[in-house]
Amino acid sequence: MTRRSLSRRMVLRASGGLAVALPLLAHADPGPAPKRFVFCYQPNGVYVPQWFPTAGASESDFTLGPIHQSLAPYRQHCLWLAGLDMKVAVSGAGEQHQRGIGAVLTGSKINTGNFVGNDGTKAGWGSSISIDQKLVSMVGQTRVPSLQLGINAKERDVSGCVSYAGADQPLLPQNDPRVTFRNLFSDAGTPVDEVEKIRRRRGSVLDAVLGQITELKTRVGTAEKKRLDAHFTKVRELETRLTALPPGTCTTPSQPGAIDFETEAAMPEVARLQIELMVLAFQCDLTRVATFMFSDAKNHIALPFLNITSDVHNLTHLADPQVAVRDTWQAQQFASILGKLEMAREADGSSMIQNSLMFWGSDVSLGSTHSHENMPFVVAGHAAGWRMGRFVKYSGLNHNNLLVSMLQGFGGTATSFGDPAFCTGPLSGLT
Amino acid sequence: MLAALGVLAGCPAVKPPADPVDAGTDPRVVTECNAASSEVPMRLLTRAEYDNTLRDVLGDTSQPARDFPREPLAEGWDNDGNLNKVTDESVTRYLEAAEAVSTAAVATRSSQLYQCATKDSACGASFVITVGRRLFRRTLTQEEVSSLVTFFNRTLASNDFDTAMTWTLQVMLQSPQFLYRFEEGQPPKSTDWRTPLLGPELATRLSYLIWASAPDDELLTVAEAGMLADPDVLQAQAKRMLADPKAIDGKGRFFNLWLRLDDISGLEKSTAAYPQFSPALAQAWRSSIGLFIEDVLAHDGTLPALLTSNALFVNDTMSMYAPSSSGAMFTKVMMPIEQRSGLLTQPGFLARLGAPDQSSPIRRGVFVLDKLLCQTPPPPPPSVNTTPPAPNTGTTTRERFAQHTKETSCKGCHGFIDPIGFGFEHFDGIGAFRETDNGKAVDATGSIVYASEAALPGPFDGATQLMAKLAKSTQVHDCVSKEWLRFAMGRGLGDGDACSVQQVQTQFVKAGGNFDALLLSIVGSDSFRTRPVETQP
Repeated sequence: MTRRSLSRRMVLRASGGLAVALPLLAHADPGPAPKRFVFCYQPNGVYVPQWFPTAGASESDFTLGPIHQSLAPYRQHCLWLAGLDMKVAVSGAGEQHQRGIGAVLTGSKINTGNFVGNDGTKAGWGSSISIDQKLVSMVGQTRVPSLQLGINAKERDVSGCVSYAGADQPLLPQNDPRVTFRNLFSDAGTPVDEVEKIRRRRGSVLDAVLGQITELKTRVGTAEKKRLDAHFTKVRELETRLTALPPGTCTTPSQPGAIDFETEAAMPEVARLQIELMVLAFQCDLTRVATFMFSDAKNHIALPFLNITSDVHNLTHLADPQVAVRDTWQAQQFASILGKLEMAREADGSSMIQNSLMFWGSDVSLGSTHSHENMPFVVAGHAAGWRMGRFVKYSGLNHNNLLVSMLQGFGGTATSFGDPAFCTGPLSGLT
Repeated sequence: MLAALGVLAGCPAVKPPADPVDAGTDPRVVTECNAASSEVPMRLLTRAEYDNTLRDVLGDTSQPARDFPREPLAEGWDNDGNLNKVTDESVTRYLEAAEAVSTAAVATRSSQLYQCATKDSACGASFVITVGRRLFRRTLTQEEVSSLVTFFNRTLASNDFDTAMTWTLQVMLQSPQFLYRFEEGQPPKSTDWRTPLLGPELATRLSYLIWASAPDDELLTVAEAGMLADPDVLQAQAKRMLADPKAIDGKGRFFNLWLRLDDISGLEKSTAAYPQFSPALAQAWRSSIGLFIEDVLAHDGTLPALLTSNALFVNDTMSMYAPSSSGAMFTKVMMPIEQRSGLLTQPGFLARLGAPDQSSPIRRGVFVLDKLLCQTPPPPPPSVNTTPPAPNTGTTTRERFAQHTKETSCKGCHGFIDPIGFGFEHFDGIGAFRETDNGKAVDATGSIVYASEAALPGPFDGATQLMAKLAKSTQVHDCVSKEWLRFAMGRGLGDGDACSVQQVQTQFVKAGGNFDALLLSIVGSDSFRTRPVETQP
């Protein structure tokens, strides 16, 4: 990926002689840096024996396990959690992977539906808004409300989704870095006056599309009306997005080349590109919320780039040490995000990691039992104002409590998140 | 044994019954064929349908939908009307596609959009009416015409003709009238459970079933004249469409989804176990099996032929399977029937149902039970080790798997699965034929232990004998025809579909498993020609 540096409200002349600009918002004052949220999902739990740090004399005195060595340089930015249970996922529709992935960010049970799970049970989509989407409404409007990024996350059902705009409103991950690029930077590299023309045209065309929808609604039944309303909203939001102006200091990448993105072998390269694009999007303030899915729940893939040639899901059932190899790679991906955000600068010169919160988790804790107890959760960054650099053990508290803590950390006042039966309020001892 | 039988017999792919009807308030009489089933009032075009439609209506072959979000799969099918919904992602892709497609169409294929002597407002109006009808799959309402023509004229007032044309096409391509298939049906009588579809709605079902694309002008004209209500006309149109080369698109979609053929091109194998493997080989497998299916459809066109044809398409990448090819072009080779017999003995298919480093009697056995017999075995319980035994030098695959599943708790299901899967042991994990496995002679004897069709159970030796049994089986025919009906409907089948299922199954068997006959009977079925009437609140 080659890059061209662009500074705020500047139009540069790129090497090719073309005027290049990102459309910029005329902010008089940059104001406080925005808060950002990132979630990383890895499927099927972790290799428990090597996951949790070894506790020392105090919360900040602990020894990292082998899996988390790549996080050592960012230790002061991270919070290792133990003793949080995903109790909301223990029962309900679907099987444990489905219930777990559907609950990890929603704190709610999944709906019933037609997706066949590992044990033949039927599951539907998630049943309420996920925390990342809740935060979207709190961090301020950006051109792209949030990113859902996949690394070989192909399932188009509850097993392939962590983000929900609401009940039965899945936000499925985009696996193709080229399309991620287009979603973020499609106008980058287009001359400014040309961009203005494109915007006027799109505004005009989409207004006419909205007119078509409105006309059609007068002639259809109730069920169709409801779906057309949803469609109308999506088109109007698209129109708003395409005419809203992204501010910020920015580096515009060129479009990644086509790669065979839905293969096991390509996962490291896809992860690298998606992470890089997300960080650039943060720097350009095109978006402030992102979720990553490193493949799907209960998937049956191998990881040839780690010399893991058999099905990782089966390996997690066996509690095979090869799972630790996978987890170590996942830790490196998380570390890569932390490293890039630590390096990235806000307008005021501070590190972006100060204003970001990163969360790394899974659908179950231990694959061999499909347990939802003692979930493998790591949190990083300082956006919530928590005391980091610690290993904190709770005694069997609901993970919903962590989710509502995040909500409050971003300025929310609610005292419960997700299914209220599984939330007793924010975790103590975080701040 | 009885308990084990119960496990399997309890898990055929029986669809859950529709919600029971409250007989107290509903005046309609429930009989076997009069019952509720839930129709989807509007269905998004799938990616394949979108691309084919643009190809046929606008001559655009760029396949923009390749970048659209994948469809959620309902029981393996991509066209479920309830699951396919627009998202931020999809409306963005629709916009991108509309921009690219309209620009290219106006620049390079204007004769497909309009044929006017003068580029003026009148020409724009005729474009809206003609192309609009093809895209919306019906004659536009007066209101639709007037709002699109107004848009065209307004754009023309400050831009050139081509720009007005391009923008108007963008509006149409992003309108729900194009993106969704709507079904309203004729006004029902209060005692009807089902009501016939309107002509253009039935034409649309027909064309997306047979062509995976929009109706052509002839079909639309017949439909808008109300003539599809005549069963003879409907059958005649369906036959005309089946004779068109585009019919391979509609049938191909069924086979792709039913057999998950598109998974084949992305298969990855251990190069330690299979040094011949490369991504190019996986691509060749996919092409080869596509050619095999097209070959079956072009000749016998029957399920028995699909299950027993000994044709194999090979090119230089696939020279390990048959020696006669050179270059990237595929040539058809008739293999010895005792080696290759039908779909399940195609290399790509065997590779898909194989492990990365060895064959997989379990995957192959499960496929036969699940997709051919509609007797889906339950998945293994979460507590068991489902990693297949690692290959070693001392034993055959069969010996290792027999050892692997010998536990009593496994036997319940594997007692049915493995005896079928062992029948494919002449094929390794990349589908190459073998006489020996690890230096020992291959034992490919097996048996069908249980089937609801009484004549089916019994022993066989090797895939060829197994396929011959399956090709003759009524149960296999019934399974496939029901799956195709479910696909045609884009929704799960309910109680109200019982008679259509039975009728389609009977006719498929009677027609010797002919796929065109199956499609004709689906088209003629009540489920296909009508939509359910919702219970009044």
